[in-house]
Amino acid sequence: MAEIQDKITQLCPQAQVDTTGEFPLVTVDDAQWHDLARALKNQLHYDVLSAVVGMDWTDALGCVYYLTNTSTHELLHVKVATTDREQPRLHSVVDLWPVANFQEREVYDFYGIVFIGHPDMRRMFLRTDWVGYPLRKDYDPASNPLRLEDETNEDYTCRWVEDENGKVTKVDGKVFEDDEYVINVGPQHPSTHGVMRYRASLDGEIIKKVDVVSGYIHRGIEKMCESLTYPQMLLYTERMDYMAAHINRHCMCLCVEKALGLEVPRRAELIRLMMDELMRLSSHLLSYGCLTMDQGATTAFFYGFRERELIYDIFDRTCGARMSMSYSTIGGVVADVHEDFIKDVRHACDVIEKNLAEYHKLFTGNVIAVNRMTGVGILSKQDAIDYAITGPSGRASGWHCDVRKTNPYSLYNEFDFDEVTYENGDSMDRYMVRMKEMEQCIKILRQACDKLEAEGIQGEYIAPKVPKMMKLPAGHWYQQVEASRGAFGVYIESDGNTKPVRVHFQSPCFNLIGVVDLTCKDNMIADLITITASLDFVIPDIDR
Amino acid sequence: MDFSIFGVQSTTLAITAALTGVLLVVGALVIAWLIGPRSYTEKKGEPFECGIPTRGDSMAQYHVGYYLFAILFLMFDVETVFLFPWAFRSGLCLEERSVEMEVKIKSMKHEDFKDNEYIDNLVEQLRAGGTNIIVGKLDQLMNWGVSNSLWPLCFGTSCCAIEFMCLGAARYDMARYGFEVARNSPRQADYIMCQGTINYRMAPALKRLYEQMAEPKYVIACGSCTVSGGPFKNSYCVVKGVDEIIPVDVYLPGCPPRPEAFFYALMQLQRKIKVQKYFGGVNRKEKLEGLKYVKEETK
Repeated sequence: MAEIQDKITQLCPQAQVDTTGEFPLVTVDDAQWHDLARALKNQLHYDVLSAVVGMDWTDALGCVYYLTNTSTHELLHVKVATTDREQPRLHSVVDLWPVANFQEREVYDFYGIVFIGHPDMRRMFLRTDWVGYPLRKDYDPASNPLRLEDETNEDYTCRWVEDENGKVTKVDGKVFEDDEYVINVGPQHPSTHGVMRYRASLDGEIIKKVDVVSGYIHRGIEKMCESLTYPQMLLYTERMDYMAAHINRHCMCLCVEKALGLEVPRRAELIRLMMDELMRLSSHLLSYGCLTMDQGATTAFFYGFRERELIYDIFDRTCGARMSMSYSTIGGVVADVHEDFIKDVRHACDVIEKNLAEYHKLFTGNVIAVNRMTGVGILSKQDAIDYAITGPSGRASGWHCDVRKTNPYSLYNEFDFDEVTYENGDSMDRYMVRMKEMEQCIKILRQACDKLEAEGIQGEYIAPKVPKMMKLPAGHWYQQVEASRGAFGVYIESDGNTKPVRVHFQSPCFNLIGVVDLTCKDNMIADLITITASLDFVIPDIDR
Repeated sequence: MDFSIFGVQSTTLAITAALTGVLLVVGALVIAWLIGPRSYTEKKGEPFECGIPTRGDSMAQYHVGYYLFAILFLMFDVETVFLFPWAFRSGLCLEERSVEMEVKIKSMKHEDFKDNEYIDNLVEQLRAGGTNIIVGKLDQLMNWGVSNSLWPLCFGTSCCAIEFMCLGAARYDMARYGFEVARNSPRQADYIMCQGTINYRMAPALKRLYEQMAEPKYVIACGSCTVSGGPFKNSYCVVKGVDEIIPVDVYLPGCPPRPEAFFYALMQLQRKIKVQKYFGGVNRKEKLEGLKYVKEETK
């Protein structure tokens, strides 16, 4: 850590580096931030901008940037603040990390911080006629009643430009030119997998540009978390990416446990890990079903759902619910596993393994599938890193980004499994990564079954001393896990009370919509559906 | 009159044509006009159904190649029309008539579910007024048809939609009850199963979709979010129950509800439909209300 401190002070003498926390924290003024960011990226290889967390510290507004080093997988966070509440302005880092495009728009939407140099400063999730900025501490909820009239003014955008003298001016622009042929897809469309909306500009059948309009399921989870205690917050983690419910909840538990210094029984951690892998299996099966259905293979959809029911039954027996299980809790899991748990998991593994061959036979080699997916929607490795595309979609581009391997959490370093990567980064590879990952899930589950059997089928499942009143020590806490669709992160800022000051969820799907435009460009309009299906995002995870 | 087509006398053919082509079609149209409930709003007339107001001109120039493609498509389509009579005549289709199966779909028995006071009251009200035997029988026939072919609109915003997909898959198989044809266009759907949170941005789109549906139309509020806002009640942008926007027929709590609960809700909706009255002025009333609504909108 001291090494990094020296390097950063060398790069930017004005920056303050604090190494007392979990990760080094750099505090820098907005004036030096852009230069420091460039140096961090080009000289120290902090290639991935994992998260941009908007903040309201009451006396100041600002952002916390989480950077990941691609070679050492170390994390670093940078705090940039401004005290101007009337016209808060920071410099954009879109030119360095393209993923910042949507991330900064989100911060603008929630906190009203304008990013100088950002090409498209529009609202991200809220209505275009929204008044005020909801995540500010002084926001009045009464200022925005339910309105049933349609949104207007969605074609216009603006950007703030700084000239040599440091004078900032606003430049208006349009999303699409007047003579462009624009097709609207969604929010009510079966192939958007929820309520996503794309506006695609076409030249004949070729897509020229896709404008992603999000926010049709934005529920303000982050704001609600600020008025809840830590155990209460767990509820929302399951309702973002409901196809990674266990994993998200696990992440939140790990983050709070880390902050509290709570020791979790090994057996509980093992059960959580098994649930995570079952969830991943279930998620990839759904992804298979939806991707195939979007290409007209309805039978394959039924196959995928047939196996998912096996997993649902396991959840049902142990957790008492099919979805939104609420099983992990701070300190362990809420109840012990069902006595037939291991038997059921082994059975599910056997059945799914056998049927995976059938899936390939049914769909993978099919001429339609091959033609519609091979070489379509290519995402290069560099683009995947620039846009922070983690998870199966990132690994399809050849980027080794599995958090289970790079920053092992839980008990993953005890398990023998491979990180599946492909090279081309097209729709086919993204599909294949998921299919191969299911085999790895089964491999992990079988090992976990043996371990759990060795440790006793029933036993200790929760830490003996879990505090009733949970007060996190003041500071920042950040935890990443590998969810079904990529790296999921939880950021908690605490001031030492029972309720947090700020909670941010870094969702993998939010980054995925950033590459919709990139991957769809110069492809056919019909491929928009296959490409987005192969990226496989869950809309409530994007909108939160 | 020795002229015949496929061995059928032309007089027989003429009568058949008159019966099917004129009487049935005109009859169906007249009956539908007489008894079909209707509602009119401005939004119903819009050409697209994605929930967003239509903008610009939907008439656009296409490349000439597409017309060629369309003509070819039509040619093959027309060919298939002639293919079937030919296949029947030449004995290619040996099995001319499939065996008629009589499937009785059992709705919920009243003894099993006595909890729905609302429907019980409705039935009592109807009984108190007395029903004409012919009109009553016709109503029963209509309701039998409507309640057994309820087509949902695919409208899943979040978690409940996954359970709805399970409902459509093989294990729960909602096709058994005639619910299977999930429609993507509101104009072909009978009911909206509103699955998932509705926020302030989605609310106008949901309203538009509801108005674009053809009568008779129903709404099931599925999951706690749509019933009352659920866990997101305290949010700054979540609608606290869809009944703030559109009328709801059945409330289905759960987060998310189990597929069995989905069936329960759908059967409740069937029960509600079974006591509906088409004859006797109900539809006319709705029509007038609709017109009033249009007038208010245009003001």
